[in-house]
Amino acid sequence: MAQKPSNLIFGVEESPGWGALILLSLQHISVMSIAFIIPVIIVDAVGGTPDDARSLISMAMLAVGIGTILQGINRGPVGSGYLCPLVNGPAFLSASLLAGKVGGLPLIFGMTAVAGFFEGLFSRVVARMRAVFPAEVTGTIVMMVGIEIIPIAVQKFLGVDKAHPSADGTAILVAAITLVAMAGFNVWGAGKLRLYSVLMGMLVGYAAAFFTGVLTVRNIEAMLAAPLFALPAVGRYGLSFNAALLIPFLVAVLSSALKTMGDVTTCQKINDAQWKRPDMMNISRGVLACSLGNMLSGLLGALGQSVSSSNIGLSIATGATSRRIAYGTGVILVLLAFFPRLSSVFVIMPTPIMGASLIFAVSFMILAGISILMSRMIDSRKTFVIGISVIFGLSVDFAPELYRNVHPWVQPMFSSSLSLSTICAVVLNLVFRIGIAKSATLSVTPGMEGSDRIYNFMDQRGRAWGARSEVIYKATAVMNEFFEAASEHGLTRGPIEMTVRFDEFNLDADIVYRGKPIEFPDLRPDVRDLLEDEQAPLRLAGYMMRSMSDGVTAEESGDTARLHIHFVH
Amino acid sequence: MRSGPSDLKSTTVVEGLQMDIWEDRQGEIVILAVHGKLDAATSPLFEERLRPMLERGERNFLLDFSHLDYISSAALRRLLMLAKKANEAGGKVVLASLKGGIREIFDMAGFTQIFPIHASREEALRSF
Repeated sequence: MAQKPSNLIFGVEESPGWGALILLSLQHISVMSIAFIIPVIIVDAVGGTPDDARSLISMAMLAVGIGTILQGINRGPVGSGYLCPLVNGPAFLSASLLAGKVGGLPLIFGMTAVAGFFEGLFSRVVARMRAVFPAEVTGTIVMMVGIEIIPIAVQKFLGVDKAHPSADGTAILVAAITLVAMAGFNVWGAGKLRLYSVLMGMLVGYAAAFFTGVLTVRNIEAMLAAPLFALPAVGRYGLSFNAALLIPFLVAVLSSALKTMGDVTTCQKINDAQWKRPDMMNISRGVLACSLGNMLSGLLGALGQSVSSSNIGLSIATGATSRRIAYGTGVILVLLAFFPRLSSVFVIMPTPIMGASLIFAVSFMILAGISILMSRMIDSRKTFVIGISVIFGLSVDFAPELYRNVHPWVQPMFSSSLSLSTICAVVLNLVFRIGIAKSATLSVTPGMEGSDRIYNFMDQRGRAWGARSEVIYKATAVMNEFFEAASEHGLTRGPIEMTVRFDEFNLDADIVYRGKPIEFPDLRPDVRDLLEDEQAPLRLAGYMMRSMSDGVTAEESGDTARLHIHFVH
Repeated sequence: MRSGPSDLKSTTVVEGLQMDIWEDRQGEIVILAVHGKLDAATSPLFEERLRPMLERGERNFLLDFSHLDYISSAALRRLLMLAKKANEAGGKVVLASLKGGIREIFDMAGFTQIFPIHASREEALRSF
C-alpha cells in the first residue's frame, strides 16, 4: 500500500469536497486549454475555417475528457489510476501536419485511430520491458518532457505569437505578474492558497491583462459570439487511411507512449513516499488507456492525445493528486464540449498567462525527472546514457535546422527534444548494458586493507547496477561487520570469498571461508557485556548483521562455512 | 600518521584509509568533528588521538558526526570505552548530528540509550 507523502494535501486515494473538486478540476482545465492551440495550428495548416477550429476544439474536449477519465480508473485492465490529464499532444503535431498535407483532416483522424491501435499492442509488452527502462532512462524522459516545453513556454511568456512576432513589454509585464502571483501563493500560501495557486494566479493575470489592454473587449466579444449550446459534430469529416504514413504515426505514438511511461512513473513517485521503482504493470495499463483515448480521438474527429506533463507538474505544485480530480476534470471537459461559449473562456486565454502557467508547471516536471535520476547510484555508463541523450535532445531545440532534411518518415523522431533524447536514452541503455555482470566476487584476507576493498567493491558494483544507495550502504556495512569480526576474533585465517548478486528486486551476498560460522543472536549484548565479556563484540557483530539485512543464514560443510545474506531492493 | 595543532583540522591517514578529525574547543568542552569512517581500522587511531586529552584531564567531549559516513560495531565499542573513562572522570561524551544511516546503526546497537544524542552541535553544547 502506497504511503502518502507529507507534502500532499489531497493524495491519490482521497476525496476533496465538491467545491474543492470543481475548483481543482477547473484549474487543471485552465492549464490543459493551452494545448487547444494544437488543433488551431492543424486547421490553419490544412486551410480550414474558424468553424473547423471550433469543431476540432470541441472534439478535443470530448476525447481528452473521456481519455482523462479512462486514465484515472484504478480497477481492471485500463488506466493507471492517477490524475494524468490528457491533451492533444505535440508528439503528433509533425505527423498530423504531414497527413493534413496529403489527405486533409480525414487522413489525420484515420491515421490517429490506427496509431492508437498499435499503441494498445505496445501496452501489452511494456510490462516485460523493465530492463529497457531503468531509472536513468525514465528520469531522462521525465526531465526532457519538461525541457521540451521550454521554447513554447518562454515564447508565450514573452508574448510572442502570430500577431506579435517579437517580445512585447506589456505581455512580459502581464506574464511576470501572473507567475509571481502563482509562485507567491504556492510558496507562502498554506492550504487553499497553495491548492488553487495556479487558478488564482490566472485570475490575477486576467485582471492584469484586461487593465493593460492585452485582453481586449474584442476578445470578450469573440467569446460571446460563440453559441451557448451546440452538439459536437462527431465524425463530421470522416476517416481515411494511407499506408505510406504509417511509419511517421507509429513514431509519433511510440514517442507519446514513452512519454506516458515517464509521466505515469512520475505519478507513482509523487504519490508514494516509499517509491523504489516503476510499477510496470501499472504503466502498461496507463499506456492502454492512452491507446483507447487515441482510437477514440480518431473516431470522433480529434487529434492524437498524450499525457499532459504540465498538469502533472501542477498537481505536484498544489499537492492535490486525487484521482477524483481526474474524473471531475473529464466530466467538466465533456460538458464544455457542448457549451462553446463557456469553453471559449479558456480558448481566449492571453498568451502571456499561458506562458506563466507553463513555466510554473514545467519547473516541477524538470525537478521530478532529476529526482528520478538521483534515486539510483550512477557510474560512467549511466552518465553517458543521460548526458548524450540530453545533449542530442537539446540540439533539436538549439539548432533545429540541423535536422530539416531528415526523411519525412522519421521526421517525428527529430521533431522534438523529447523524441530524440528518448530514442537515444533507450538505445544507449541497451548498448551500455553489455558487459554488466549480474554477479561479482571479491576475495579478501583478514587484515586492515579488507574494509577499504569492500567499500570500493560495493560502491563500483552499486554504480554499475544502478542500485539504490541505501541498500548498497547496508550490504557494505554487513559485509564489513563480518570481515572485522573474522579479523578480530580469528574466525578464519584464510581468504574470504564474497560473491554479490543483483537483480532489480534482490541483492544477495554469499560469504565462503574456511572456519567456523558466525552466530546471529536474537538479542544484542548489553553495555556491561560489551565492557566485560570478550565475546560480546562478536555477538554484537552477528546481531548487527542480522538486523541490517532482510535475511541471513549460516551453514557448515566440513571445515568450510557459508553465509547467505539477503537484501530486498 | 600525521596530525596538526589542536585548534586546526588534522588528518589521520593509514594505508589508504582516511579519517579526518577536526578539533575545536568551547570552554571545557572538546569538540571533535569526525569525517569519513569509524571502523576497526580507523577507530584505534581515533582512540589514540583522544588518549592524551584524557590523560591531561579533559573529560567533556562533543563528537560531531555530521560528516561521519559509516561506523562499525567495533568502533561503537571503542566509543563506549571512551564514554566510560569520561564518566569515571566526572565528565561526559555527547553526540551531535547523526546522519540517517549512522543513526540507524546506533538504534540497532542500542547505543541511542547510552549516549546523549542531539540534532545539532549548538543543541549539544547547550546540554553541558
